[in-house]
This record gives sequence, structure tokens and C-alpha cells, in this order.
Amino acid sequence: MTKEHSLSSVQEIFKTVFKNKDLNINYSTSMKDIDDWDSLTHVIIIDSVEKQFNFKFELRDMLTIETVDDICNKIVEKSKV
Amino acid sequence: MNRNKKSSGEITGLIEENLYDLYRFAAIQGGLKTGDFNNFSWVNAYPACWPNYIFNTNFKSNTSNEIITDANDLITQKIVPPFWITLSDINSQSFQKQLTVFNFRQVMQWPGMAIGLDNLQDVPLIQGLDIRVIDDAESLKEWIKITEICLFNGKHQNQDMFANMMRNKKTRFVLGYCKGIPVATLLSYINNGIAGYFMVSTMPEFRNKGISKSIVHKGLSIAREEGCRLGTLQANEMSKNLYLSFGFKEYCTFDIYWKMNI
Repeated sequence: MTKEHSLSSVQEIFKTVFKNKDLNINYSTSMKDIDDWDSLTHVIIIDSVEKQFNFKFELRDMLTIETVDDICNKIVEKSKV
Repeated sequence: MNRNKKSSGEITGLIEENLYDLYRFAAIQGGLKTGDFNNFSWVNAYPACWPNYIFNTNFKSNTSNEIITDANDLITQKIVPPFWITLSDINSQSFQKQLTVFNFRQVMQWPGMAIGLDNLQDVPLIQGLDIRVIDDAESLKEWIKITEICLFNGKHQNQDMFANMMRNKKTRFVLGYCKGIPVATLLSYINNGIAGYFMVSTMPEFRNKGISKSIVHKGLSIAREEGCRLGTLQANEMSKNLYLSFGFKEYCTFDIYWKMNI
């Protein structure tokens, strides 16, 4: 899984979670950039990524993820295992 | 009360007690839906965002299965909120495993911390910073607005509940002003000689200036003047170092679980 592919998938997850088909994200997108990205939608995003890519985040990782880049890096890391 | 004479387990109990008492107190002040069963308590502030928790779980009375099934039924009926706070210790391990079986997911972890107030050290003064205990409606509106922005992502708080809490001598609502602009908050809840600290927040553009440290110090000083000997709070990974720098020590951990798909 390349990082570019992971971004594309994460973008679709974000569109679904935030119910906004026009939402555009990039690696630097963070909670500050999306109004409804709070601690609960964060968990929903994490849950969706886990289901899509078939791995589990450790709690520590979940709590320290701040940007889309963090999510994509974790996806790439887990896809190598 | 001398913190040094209390065991770690006793202090953990005091941290837990202050937190759960605050939830019950808020429920009374706000006329919130609340319940106390044999195995757990709960408070539901919906449509407001706080406090919404199941808490005070009695792990010893029934099996985990029965406790969670009871709560699950109430969650499905939207009587009880889908957030469960448990103290993370040896008694709760199998219970927490069962929570995951019932599709609860651990979403947060709060270090439970405490400090003896006998030897509170001063903090440097910040020019232009004025910290006050508030008791009027206008200031409370500002206080609530800051907490909504900083702690609850803009979600609505129960204004009447906080107004009633402010009128009660168990609480102190503290507001920090930077050159006249309200920018930081703290709530202290004093019960049985223990001062609990909650809702510590600073507006984003005013962070990293030592304001949180000053407002927490004010809260601790007030409690000491009023005869309290122990201060308690639940931190998070970001704020833990701030409290450690005060001399708070970590005694326990609270795990928060969320039933995501009801």
C-alpha cells in the first residue's frame, strides 16, 4: 500500500464520516481544519480505517494521531506487516 | 489531612469519589436524568454535552455480563448515555474485556492525579493576566463559551446547570482574563475537604503562555485557604506534564469506553 493510495482511501472515509462528498483533504489536514472533527468523530474515523484496512490501532496511536498524514503513515506501516 | 499519611489506594479512592460526586452534584443542579443502581450510576445531560457517563461501577456484585447487559438495555433505549468511565485496576480488567465483547471501544484514558496542598509553590506572575472567581451571569456566559470552544468542539452546554452550580458554595468558577479579554477557565468542586479540578481550558490563540499554570495555581491556592489539604483531577496526555510540574502525582487511570454503534 503506497501512501498516495492510502490518502485516496482516507479521503473517501472522511467524505463518508463527515457526509460531505465535496470534502478535500491533504496530508496536513488536522482537527483544526474540519469543524466536526472532534474526539468522537475521530474515533469513528479510526474505526472506519480499521475496518477498511483490517488492522487495529493501539489506544496510544489513536490518541496521538493529529493529522491525515499520521493516519496514512500508520496505514502504510500496518500494510507492511 | 496529610497526603503523606494516606496510602496510594486511599488517594485513588478520593480522586474517584470527587469525580463521581461532581457528576451527581451536576445532575442535581441541572435537573438531569440520573440513576443509581446496585452495579452502576449514570447521568444523562443530553442534549447538552456534559456530563454524560455511566460511572461508579460495582465490579464485585454481579458478573460483568449481567452489569453490562443491564446498561446496554438502557443505552439502547437512550435512557443512559453510551460512555462508560471505569477505574483501570485489577478489579476492572475482566469487566473491561467484557465491555469490548459488547462492542464498547476504549476511546480515552485519563490519568487520575492528586497533590497535597500544604507545600504549594508560587508560580511566576504573567503581566496582563487577571484571574478571578466569578459569580455573575455575564461572566459565567463567557466561561461557558470558552469551555464549549476548547473542550467540547463548540457543542452546547447546559447553562442553567452551571448557573445553579455557581450559586452553590461547593464550586468555584474561575475565569482568566488576558488584558481584559476572558481566555481561560477552571472549575473547582470542593467536597469533604477534597478540591477537584475540572474544565481547565485556554483559548487556542492564548496557549503556551503559562496561563493554564496560573489558573490552576489560583484554584489550588483558594482550596488551601479554605482548609482543603488535597487537590485532585483527571488529566490527559497533553496536560499531564503541566500538572506534574506543579507536584501532582499520578495515582490511577480512568478508561473511557464508548458504545459506538447503538
